[in-house]
Amino acid sequence: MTFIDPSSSAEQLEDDKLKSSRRSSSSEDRQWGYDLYPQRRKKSTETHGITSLLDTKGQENISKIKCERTIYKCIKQSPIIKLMMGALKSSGCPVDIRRHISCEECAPTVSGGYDPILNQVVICQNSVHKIGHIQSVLLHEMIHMFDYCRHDLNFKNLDHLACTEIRAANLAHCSFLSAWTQGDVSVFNIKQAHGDCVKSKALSSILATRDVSTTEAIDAIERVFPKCYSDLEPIGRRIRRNSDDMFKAYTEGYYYGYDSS
Amino acid sequence: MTETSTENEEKAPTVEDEWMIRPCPVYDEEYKDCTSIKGRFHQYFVFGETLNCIPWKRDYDNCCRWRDNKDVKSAKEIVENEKARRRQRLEPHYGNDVWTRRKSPPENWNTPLPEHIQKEYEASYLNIKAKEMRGEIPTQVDPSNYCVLM
Repeated sequence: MTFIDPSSSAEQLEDDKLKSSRRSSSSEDRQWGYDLYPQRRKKSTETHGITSLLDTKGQENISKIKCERTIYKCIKQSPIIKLMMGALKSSGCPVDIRRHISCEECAPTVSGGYDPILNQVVICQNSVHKIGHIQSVLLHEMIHMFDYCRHDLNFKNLDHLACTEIRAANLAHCSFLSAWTQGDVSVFNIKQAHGDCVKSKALSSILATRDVSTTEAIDAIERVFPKCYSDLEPIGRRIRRNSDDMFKAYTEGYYYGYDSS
Repeated sequence: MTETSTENEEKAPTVEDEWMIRPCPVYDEEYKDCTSIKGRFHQYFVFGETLNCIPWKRDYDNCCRWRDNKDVKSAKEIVENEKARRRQRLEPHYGNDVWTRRKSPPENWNTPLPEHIQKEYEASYLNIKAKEMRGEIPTQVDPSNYCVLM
């Protein structure tokens, strides 16, 4: 899942996000997935009423610290995240955990995203709490970062977006069990069903953040699928759940120059 | 670059691209995983067929011979297999022409964040940890197990 600023001229990069959000219309926001991340648009204006006692408002700061603490644990301990950090560093894009990662409150439909304008991974502190989930979101977004670092990835280009979503679904998601719950496999349809799972996951990711029609998205996915499905860098294998694949991928990364030391 | 002459027995035999040979247990692990039930199921799920696991077994046996007996022929076979694996892994990556490769990293990789965001981050947990990782401040105690009173 990614979101971009509708007017991405050079001045925008220096402008405060506050000003840029006022210029864009709300329908454009929806098209580019901007309004899924309300905190990034403006400084938070706190209004407390009696209902805020009944909601869980007021816990944002604690949530943020917990989220950041879990992210730090992932960075230090998770082999797959260390592999991604090493791969990004070797590609000339070292990750600074404060500059490139952010914990925020977002819309309940998303669990994270990547902002290529500010170049930040956004983790939704209100949707993800467990370390496994955060690891999964971080991995997904870091794959987008890796593609953005190495290639001229233009998030407004539907083919590019489809390709990076296919790669993220391919490498980081679609175990047999998740394909089963998604409905892509059944007892009679297991053979090579992994590809279908990847396609539907990529489709839902695209539709969640872009206002394109389903047929447009499906066309883009089908166009780029053969090339993007077999591109496994920097992980090098499709991670199987409940296996040592993450550790194996991490040790293998050394032989491909992905060293995080 | 290839085998040393037999007259100098103190020199250990070397093989070109010897760095590609991984520790022997790695090959054993890969072979076991490849032939396991879970592994086979995953292969069927992804490829629609089971893969040939024999190369891993050969590499393991060759690796043992190289490690224990310095058998150069075995080492060369492993290197050939590893080169084939590298080709198989990297070809789709370089052949992916949906996008073009950059010549240098993106310009906005490290551009400073907007003022209000930077100010928010000053006292944040990740800021402290980032400074620790860079060595700017000594390691801080993290009171993560303390109770929080709302």
